This record gives sequence, structure tokens and C-alpha cells, in this order.
Amino acid sequence: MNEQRHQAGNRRKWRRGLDTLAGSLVVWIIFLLFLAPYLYLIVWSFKHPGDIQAYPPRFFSPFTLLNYKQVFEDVNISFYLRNSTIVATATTLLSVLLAIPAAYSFARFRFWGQDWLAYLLIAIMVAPLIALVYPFLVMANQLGLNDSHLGLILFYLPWNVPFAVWMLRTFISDVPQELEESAQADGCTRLGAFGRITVPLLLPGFFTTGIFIFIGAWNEFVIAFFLTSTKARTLPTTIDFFLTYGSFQFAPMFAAGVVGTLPIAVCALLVRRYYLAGTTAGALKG
Amino acid sequence: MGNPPGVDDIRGTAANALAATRPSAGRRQLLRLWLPYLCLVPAVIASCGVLLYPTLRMFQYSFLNWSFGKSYETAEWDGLANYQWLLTSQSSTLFHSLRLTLLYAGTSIVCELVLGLAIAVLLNRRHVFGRQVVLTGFMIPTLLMPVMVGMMWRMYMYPNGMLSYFLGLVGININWYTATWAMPAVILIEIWQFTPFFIISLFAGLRAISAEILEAAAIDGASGWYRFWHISMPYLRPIIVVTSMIRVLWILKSFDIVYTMFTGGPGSATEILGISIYRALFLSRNIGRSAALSVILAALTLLVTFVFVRFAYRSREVMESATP
Repeated sequence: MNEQRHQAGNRRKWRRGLDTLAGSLVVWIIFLLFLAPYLYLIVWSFKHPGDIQAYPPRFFSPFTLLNYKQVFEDVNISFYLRNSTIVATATTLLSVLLAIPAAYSFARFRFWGQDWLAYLLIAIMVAPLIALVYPFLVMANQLGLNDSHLGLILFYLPWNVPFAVWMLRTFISDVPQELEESAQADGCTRLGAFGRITVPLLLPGFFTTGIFIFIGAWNEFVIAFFLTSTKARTLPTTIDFFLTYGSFQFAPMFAAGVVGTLPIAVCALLVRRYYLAGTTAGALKG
Repeated sequence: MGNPPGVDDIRGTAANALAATRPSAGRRQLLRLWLPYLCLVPAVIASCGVLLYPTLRMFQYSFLNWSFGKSYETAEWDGLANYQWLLTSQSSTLFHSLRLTLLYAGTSIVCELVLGLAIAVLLNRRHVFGRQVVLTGFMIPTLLMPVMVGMMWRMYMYPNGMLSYFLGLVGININWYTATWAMPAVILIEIWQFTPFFIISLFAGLRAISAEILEAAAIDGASGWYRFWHISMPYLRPIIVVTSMIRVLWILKSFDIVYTMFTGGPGSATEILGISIYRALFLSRNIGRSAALSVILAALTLLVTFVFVRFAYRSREVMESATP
């Protein structure tokens, strides 16, 4: 009797284990299928140009850094990497800094017209980039900002500042107002209370918002493509080199693709907790 | 507001106690009234300040007859001629673009939703090895640089590319660079890049459904399928709507991937609205027409956003509770 029950329990355990194994296997197969194109890009970027273009594909071939050498020496991709880093970093810092007061205002006050101003921010955020390219071109020429870092940063602000306000507002709301109030009661000014109590608690919020803005600015193509030519060209626009230089070049493209996307893949790991909040708000961004 | 009365009392006394050390009551009142608006100034200047002028210009240009490359003095006021041309002319691609966008959005969102839901359900089983790793890995495609994604797939979809090889193994031979297959190619890339977005948000939704309700239903004898349709699905519905609408917005404004893959071609097979604007400006060299298309795109985007915001506000609590 007892023996039988024991056996039945064992069988159930076995079946559950098998079930888990099968389910996990299916999930992992699908997952690897999804990642395969990107992993392929990374693996293939370390092959000789001949091996890259071989058909059928050569799965096992000698390792080489030749493509990276070409990308860094002939195309001088480090220059574009530098431009991208400057523009994305400055956009991130400026957007977050400019957004803090507004985010504070939305999170901490109730004022007349608040909802409408929030709508306005969203309306600005969704303005499609491609629609504004020509007016931006004209404006950049008039201000002498064509092909400059400053021009790019300036034109990235209208999309990223509302995004930062939107994100930070939620983060500020999550810090209990009572904490600030008790600091004010102890003699802090409003600003002092915000700076000493709330800001330290907001660091993850700043970080997350910043990473999302950085990713957006790093990936941005339309404005960078039409508003820069030589001096301020950023990484995404270098795509054009490989497209138009005589024949289409495969090998350096693989290396450039990895150089351009790997920092972002790393960023994905850093913001995974806030991925949904960031992409949902970021999706509105032109 | 939501404070227990005790806190308000304390705040009141503290404020009274400190009143002597603060600026005069009148100035404080004024500051309190204007502070919320003052705080908005930097953000408003940074966004409206930069955007207002180009937006007004875009409107103005849409009424002009002006060729790209010619000086502004040569531009002539043309009334609504550009709009009229776009809406009525035989060679206008406006309706073609709108149809393409509809097809593009419809097909990719339905596929992404079905795939995403299936994978999210699989992920939500009781034990999955390395669930966190899978979830984080799924975030990568959605964040990658769109032009690089386009370029990557362009290489894979060449006749001697990786995708063509693997499809050839199962007996499918497709030339993606034809008018018939160009748009499906774009949709395929889109599905690859954004199914994970659906997976992650739907998985978060499934996680948020309390296990007790599902267990109670199971004890009452409800089958797995019944539980899914009648308990999980109603809960997921707002998430599905919000996620899909975000994708509609994305697709309306998409440009990068199509540009790097096909630049709108072959012919006008992939000429979505963004590409139309680009072509009207740099190929037809017609600033007015391009601006009119821009106005139409902006209006469509605003319309979808308005509906989206209306809906998202209602279901925001669901979205927020669903954030892992």
C-alpha cells in the first residue's frame, strides 16, 4: 500500500521533471532562434572576408581581427565612435538636467492646466523626425549649426527632454513626499530637501532614464544623416560608406555592425528591470 | 491629499513655527502659485523652443511651390495645391503609402501578438531553466540600432546570404529583392525585432495575474484552455491594446530599416510614408509636396497618439503593475 503510493509519487515527480525539461528546451530553442541573427553577426565578424562571403556559409574557419583592423584603420570608425559618444552623452546629461525641475513639478504639485501640459509634452515627443528634416536643415544653416555636435545635441533635445520628464516624474512620485516635508520641517528649504533627501533616492531613476536617452541618441539616424557631413558624423550614418563605396562590402560591415550595437546590448543588461517603463514611454519618441 | 490627518497637522504647525524665518507671506503665496510653472520653464524652452520654429516652417512650406536647391526667393505661394496634388494626382503615392503602412502594421502586429503570446505563455510555466537570462536576452533585438538591423538583414537576405541558405535547406527559394517580396522582407525583420517586445510585456502581464485565482479555478474544474481564455485573456487585453498601439506609432514613423534595406524600392514597393517624404524632397526635389506629406504624417501620428494616451491613461495602472 505504502510502497504503491511511493511509486506513484515518484512517477509524478519524474513526469513533472520531464515536463519542465521539455518546456525549457522549447523556450531555449525559440530564444536561440531569435538571437541567432545577432550572434551570427558577431561570430562572422571574426572571419576572413573570403570566409564571410563563402556560399554555402563556412561555419568553422580561422579566427581573425582583420575586419576590425580595416574598420578602425581604413574607415577610421573610432572618429565616428567618438562623435557618437560626445553627442549621446551630452544629449543624455542635458536632457536629464533640463527635465528635473519639470518632472518635480509634475510629481509634487497640483496646478491648473497640468493635464494639458502633460499632453503637450507627449505631443512634442511624438513629432516624427523625418517630417522635420528639411526645416531643421534650414534652421541649422541659418544658425550655422550644420555638421556640428552642438546642432545635433540641440535637435535631439525636443524629443528627449519630454521623455526624461515623463520617466523622472514617475521616479520622483515613488519617493514619499513626507520625507521631503519632514526635512522642510527641520529647516531645509524646498530645494535643499529635494537635493538632500530625494536626489540620492533618485539615482537609479536618473541612471535608467539616462541609459534610455543614450540608446536613443546613439541609434538615431535620420537627423544625423541629413544634418552632418564630415565633422560631426555619428556612427549610424557610416552605414552609407559601405553601401556606396563601389561594390557593397560585406566584411567591414559585419565588424562595424558589432562595434555599433555591442554597447547597446550591454545597456540592455543594465536597464532590464525598467525595460518596459522605458520602452513604453520611449516608443512615443519620434 | 492622501495623507493621514496627523501628518497635515504636523506640517501646519511646523510651517507656522518657521513662518518667522521665511519671506513675507505675500511673496510666499505668489511663489507657491507660480513655482509649478517656473519649474516647467527649462523643459518647455528646450522642447518647444527648438521645435516651434521648424514646425511652423513645415506648415508654411506645405503651401509653397518651391524646388529643393533653389533659393527661398523663388518659392511661390501655391495655396492648397500640394495637398490637392497628393490627394488627386495619378502619380501621387500617398494612398499607396497608406495602404502599405496598413498592411505593414496589420500583418506584423498580428504575427508579433500571436507569437509573443505563445512564447510568453511558455515562459510562464512553473519551472523554466534560465528564465531571467531568456527575458534579458529578448530585450537585445528591440534596442539595437535600426540601421544596423537593416544592414544586417540586407546581408542575410542577399541570394548568397545566411537566410537564403537556411531557407534553401528546407526548399524555400525566395528572391527578397523583388517587388513582391520586398515588403514581406521588411515585415519579417520587424517581426524578428519586435516580437520580443510583445513577449516581455505579455509575460509581465501573465506574471501579475494572481496564482490564487487560477488555482481556485483549477480546483473548480476549469480546464487549462478555459482558464486562459476567461481569466488570463481579459486581464491581458489592455496590455495587448497598449503594446499594439505603441507598435502602430513606431511603424507610422519608421524609416531607418526600410531605408537601409531597400530605400523604398524596388519601384515603390516599400515606399512607406517616411520614405515618401524623403523621396519627394531629395528625388522629386519638391519641398512643398514633401512638407505636405510631413503635415499628413504628423497629423496621423498625433491622432493615433491621442487615442493611445486616452486609452493608456485608463489602463496605466495595469501597465505599471505589470512592470517586472
